[in-house]
Amino acid sequence: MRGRRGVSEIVASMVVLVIVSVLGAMLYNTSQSTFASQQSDLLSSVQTEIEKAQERFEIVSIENNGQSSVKANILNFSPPNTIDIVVSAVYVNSTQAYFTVTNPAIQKDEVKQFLVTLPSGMTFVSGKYYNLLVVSERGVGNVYSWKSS
Amino acid sequence: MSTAGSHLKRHRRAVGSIIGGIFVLLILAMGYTMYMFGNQSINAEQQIINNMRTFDIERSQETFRTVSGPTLDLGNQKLDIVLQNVGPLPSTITNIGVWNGIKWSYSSFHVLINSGESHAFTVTVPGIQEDQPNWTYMVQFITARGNLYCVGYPNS
Repeated sequence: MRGRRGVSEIVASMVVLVIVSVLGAMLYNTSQSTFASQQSDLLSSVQTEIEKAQERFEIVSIENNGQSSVKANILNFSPPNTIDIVVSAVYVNSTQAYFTVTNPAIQKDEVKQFLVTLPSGMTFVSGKYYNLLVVSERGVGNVYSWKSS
Repeated sequence: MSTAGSHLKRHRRAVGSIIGGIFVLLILAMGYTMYMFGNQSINAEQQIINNMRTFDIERSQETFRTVSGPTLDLGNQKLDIVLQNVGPLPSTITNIGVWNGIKWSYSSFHVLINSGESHAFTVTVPGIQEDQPNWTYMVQFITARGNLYCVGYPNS
């Protein structure tokens, strides 16, 4: 009887040990992936903020192109060792317009031409002032004002 | 009087204390790592912001003046102009834009002009209309710091 009680204590200890080990491994694995994901999110957000602070671009000129579109020449003059600027949206007098370009990314020191088209039903009126707002993927904007001719 | 049972209890208590101590050390190490990581990120961001502030100040200091020209050669569709960098810093011209009365055309350049020095540019101006003497044309010099220096010239 004494011998059997001893065996059951050993078995019980081993079962507890196995359960604790499995639970510990699961907890370690979960916490590891959670911490890694949080660290990656934090790094990514810091990197985006840094790139946003470095982003510099300007609309250098506008050309008329019919009644409902203009051509906007955009310069990327961000400092060296920065990544390209990608145009994500354009607005004419606070109304979202459309842009057409083969590749919306602008490399450093490059001037790229974007065809900006007003929404259907809208036209540029000669003699009226317009504001063109160009917004990049990182949320940086640049405004150009001109008088339509 | 010490018995085998009390000796075992003391030993087990000591093991518990060691495990507890290790946990405390792990918590402290984790906290320190998080603090160092956050600190490094803030320092890196601050460094970039300072660099960009310097970039913007240098940009505001860039100044040019036209020493001679623009002289238009209609036959060869060329424009001669001499620019002087009158700012305190060296400047690099990265693009030249030409407005021929109809459209802008940009060409890429890389010309460094030191402070106080001048540079003669010969710019191709395609599509200049000879029969439009009242039109005003324009040449746009673009620097690496994003400044635009525009020179207008009549077709006469």
